[in-house]
Amino acid sequence: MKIDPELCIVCEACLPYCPMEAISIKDDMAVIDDDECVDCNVCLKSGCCPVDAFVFEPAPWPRSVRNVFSDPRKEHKETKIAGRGTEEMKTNDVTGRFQRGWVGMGCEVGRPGVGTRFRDVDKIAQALAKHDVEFEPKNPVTSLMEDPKTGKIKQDVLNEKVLSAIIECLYPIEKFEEIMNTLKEVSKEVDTVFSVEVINRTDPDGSYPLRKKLDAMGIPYYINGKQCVGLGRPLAKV
Amino acid sequence: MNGSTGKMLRVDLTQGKLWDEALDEATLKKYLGGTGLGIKYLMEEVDPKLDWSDPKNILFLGSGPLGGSRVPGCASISFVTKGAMTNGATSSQANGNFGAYLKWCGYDAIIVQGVSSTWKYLYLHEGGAELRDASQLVGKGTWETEDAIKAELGYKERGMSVFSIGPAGEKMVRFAGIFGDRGHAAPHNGTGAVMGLKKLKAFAAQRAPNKLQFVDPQKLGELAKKTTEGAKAFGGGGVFNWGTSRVVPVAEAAGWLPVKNYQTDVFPEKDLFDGQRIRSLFQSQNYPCYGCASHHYELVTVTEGPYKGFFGKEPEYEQWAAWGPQIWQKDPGAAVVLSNECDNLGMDANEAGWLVGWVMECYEKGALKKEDLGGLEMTWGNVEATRALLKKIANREGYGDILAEGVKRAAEKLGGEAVNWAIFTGKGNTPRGHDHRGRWVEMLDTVVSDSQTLQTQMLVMNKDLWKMPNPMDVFNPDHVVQAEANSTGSMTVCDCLVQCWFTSFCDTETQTEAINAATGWNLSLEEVMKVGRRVVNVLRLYNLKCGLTPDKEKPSPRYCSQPVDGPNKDKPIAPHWEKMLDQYYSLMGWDRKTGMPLPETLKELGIEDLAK
Amino acid sequence: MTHSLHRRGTAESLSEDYVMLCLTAIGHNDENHEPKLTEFLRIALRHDPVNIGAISLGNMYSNSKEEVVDNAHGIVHAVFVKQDQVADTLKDLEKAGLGMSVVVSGIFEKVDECLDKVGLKHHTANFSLGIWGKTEKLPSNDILEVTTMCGHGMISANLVKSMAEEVKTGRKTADEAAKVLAPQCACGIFNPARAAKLLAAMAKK
Repeated sequence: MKIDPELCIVCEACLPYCPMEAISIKDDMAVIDDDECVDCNVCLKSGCCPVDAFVFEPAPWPRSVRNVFSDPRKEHKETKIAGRGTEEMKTNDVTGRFQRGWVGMGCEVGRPGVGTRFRDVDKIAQALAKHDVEFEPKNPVTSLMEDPKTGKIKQDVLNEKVLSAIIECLYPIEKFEEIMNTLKEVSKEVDTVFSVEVINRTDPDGSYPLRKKLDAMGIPYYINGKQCVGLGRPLAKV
Repeated sequence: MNGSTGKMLRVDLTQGKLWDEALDEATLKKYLGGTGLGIKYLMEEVDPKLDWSDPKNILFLGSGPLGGSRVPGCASISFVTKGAMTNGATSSQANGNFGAYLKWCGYDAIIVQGVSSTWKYLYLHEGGAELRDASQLVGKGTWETEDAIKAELGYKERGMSVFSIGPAGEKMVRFAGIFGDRGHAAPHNGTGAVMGLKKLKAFAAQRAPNKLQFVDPQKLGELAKKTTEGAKAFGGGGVFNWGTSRVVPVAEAAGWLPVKNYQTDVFPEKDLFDGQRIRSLFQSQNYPCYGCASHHYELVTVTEGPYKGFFGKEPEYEQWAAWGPQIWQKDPGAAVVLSNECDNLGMDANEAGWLVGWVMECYEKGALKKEDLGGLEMTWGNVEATRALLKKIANREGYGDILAEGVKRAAEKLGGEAVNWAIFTGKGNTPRGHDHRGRWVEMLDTVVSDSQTLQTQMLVMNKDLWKMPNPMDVFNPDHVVQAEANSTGSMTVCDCLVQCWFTSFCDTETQTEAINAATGWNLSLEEVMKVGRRVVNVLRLYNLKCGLTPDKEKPSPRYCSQPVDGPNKDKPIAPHWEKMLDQYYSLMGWDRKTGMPLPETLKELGIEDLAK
Repeated sequence: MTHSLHRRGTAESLSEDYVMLCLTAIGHNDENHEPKLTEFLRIALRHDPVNIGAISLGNMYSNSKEEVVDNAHGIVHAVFVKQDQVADTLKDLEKAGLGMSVVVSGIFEKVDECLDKVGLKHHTANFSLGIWGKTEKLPSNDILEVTTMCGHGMISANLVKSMAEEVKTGRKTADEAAKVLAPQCACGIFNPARAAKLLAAMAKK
């Protein structure tokens, strides 16, 4: 994103809108720090600039990943989905992606509000890959991996910054404890934050085995969460 | 030089020549710029005995040391000339971008002298300046002129600032003004008539890259932030967020909304004109000046009523007042139309409002008939008739030719009782758009003003600094005089810088810091305050020589009449008037009989030489 | 996408914050799915949501409700403040038999109460294990309670701070301030009613 220096009136209306604090005033002009900017387009779309000084020109690879990951209105070419993640558990009643006995997990790196470079996504992905997790094929982060078996992210995007990127994977519930320990370790190595979510199919009696495990292990989780309510058709056999 | 470009542009229209003139630092320290610089040149170069329409009259326009910096509000421009309404000195400021763009083109100020033989406009750009043929622009309204010049020179909307006159200025309507950047105005005392006289249609300045040098840009940045925070906080941020339209219902409740030519102080439809309502009802688009974060100035599309779809500038308070209650008109959409048409024709809304209100009263009372007005039925609130009348006045057609002289002269020409219905001052300058019978400080200010427009005002950031009564009883004559006399200079500093009052709110302390951060002059607060008082006194000296003597400092009978209803009906100003003037002169250090600043006053301000 | 999952707040605050999503499963039931999502929004609108959104367009604060309804594609959202609005919407959805997946985000117990009322059973859950990593980089908790209502991170902490300041100084009401934030959340899962309460509380400090 750029600010047209022939239009900017230095009114500072835009400064608070940037989620990455990338806009500042230099030499009587509002300027965007190119490296900190994630091309999310919040500034432009907000309409906060009274003189329409924001100009966005889609950048070539590898910088192109910034806009695609950070602007939720952009559809990823691979998944035809806008936003950072996939349908994930939301359509599990129809897709059957998460079966009983399995845990789906997402690590949204950079969320909330801190942003991340892909090198931190790389760290977490590689750490998870060591447990032979199955990375979600339709996920845009997976498509940036050199090899989903290693979790290693392509070299040329490692420095690119995005609002957030979600690593989605799947593993049997038996691996849950060891993976939690790995996450605790890699948590100390990253230069950003990441939000962790875990997905579980309910048992026939309506209980969630994973929830029982979390309670037993003393791992805290939010009192609020998401539940797919089984209205999708046709129902998958899970 | 820091802050200043060190240069002024001279334009001799008679000879068609342009040249640069150096500005010296000592003069700038004494007068700062803007109005101060302007009156210095007016005093030196225009014989006060001359009529305003003499080719030897000059038109000065200038920015100040902060112009083109990012301090909010400093993109404004001040016009100084011998004005057509009073035949005395006038200074009228317009907000918008011209002051900043002028400085970025390399000039602090411009002086236009002489008269062109053919219509011209002045084009300023990075490389310099030139006079260009304006024959294709003659007859165009002010918005149209902006569009035409930008198209001709290939500039986008904000890539250029254009200030121009409309048909009214071309026809030298006495109260024609100068308008630009989509409706910003320097309309007072016939500034536009002077341009029309000189056959100068417009000023157009490119937004050139900013190459100004400031001593401490970082400090200026901090002060810019401080100014914005101050503007956000002042008066609960009402103007900052909603503009001046917010004020209409407040004014009515306090008895200073002008209604039906001062016939009443009650306007039941006041809430229809409330700014917040207008902003949510009509489609609004923020259109700020360079450096300003406020939502004061907006463009608007009318969304209901017979004028649905009309696009133009959102009226300022004064224009809501003129085209709503003053002419007893209740549709805000129609007020938008009248406001924009008056601007585009190029006439001062204040004077036009008093004039049309007076015509309507004359029509009501039979002093003017349909036949006198070319068939127009000037009943109260008749929008279409008003639109037609404004065109007649701008073009000096039929009775419009008499009305084009302003309400004082038109009323005196009509004679009889009609003179007692008109709102004017003895000097001929125009009161702003309020009922000053509920706003005594401003009535006093209007009548004595030597800038011929608003000279000072109660709303000052630091009341104690300017020794204003605090708390203040606005109907206590002593308080009124003290507020007016003691704060004289506060607004004038704004006029010299040239900084928009709605961003600075006369915060002289921050202004002083900003001047020093820009220029390195190291002026004290007292010195800056003194510049304000100095300039007021120079204006007074000049105007006295023009014949604007104390005997002319009085309100018209209707202007100072006693309200018949509303919250101030028991508060007539007339009984206190003479005493107030006596007290005012005393506090100002002026001779009561002659109006002259006393020797000690002149000495204190370092302008004894100008009194000779 | 997990964007409605990691909303932070106290039990009291979250008891007034429910997000319902309706979406198609690509490759399974996506053919001609748009009218079904449109119907979801119409059903939701019967029960007074505080926000609706369609990611391809925006939400009812950046656009009009009708525009949002007309642009239903892929996934749509509705946000409610009352538990019974959720139950009533679920009831109507069950009757309508749209065949689109529906997800409800909110306090687990409260959502389960709604499901029981309507005779539905939860199918799959998504639990939030909170925020890990360099948490010292996070803004204060009261700001997070507002910003996490936009899962895509479109609402900057600085904007929330400046709106709280506007409310504190009386220049804006809490509702007006929330409505400055709402349009930034592109997909419309932001809850302006809850945001107004949070901003008012921030302004009091």
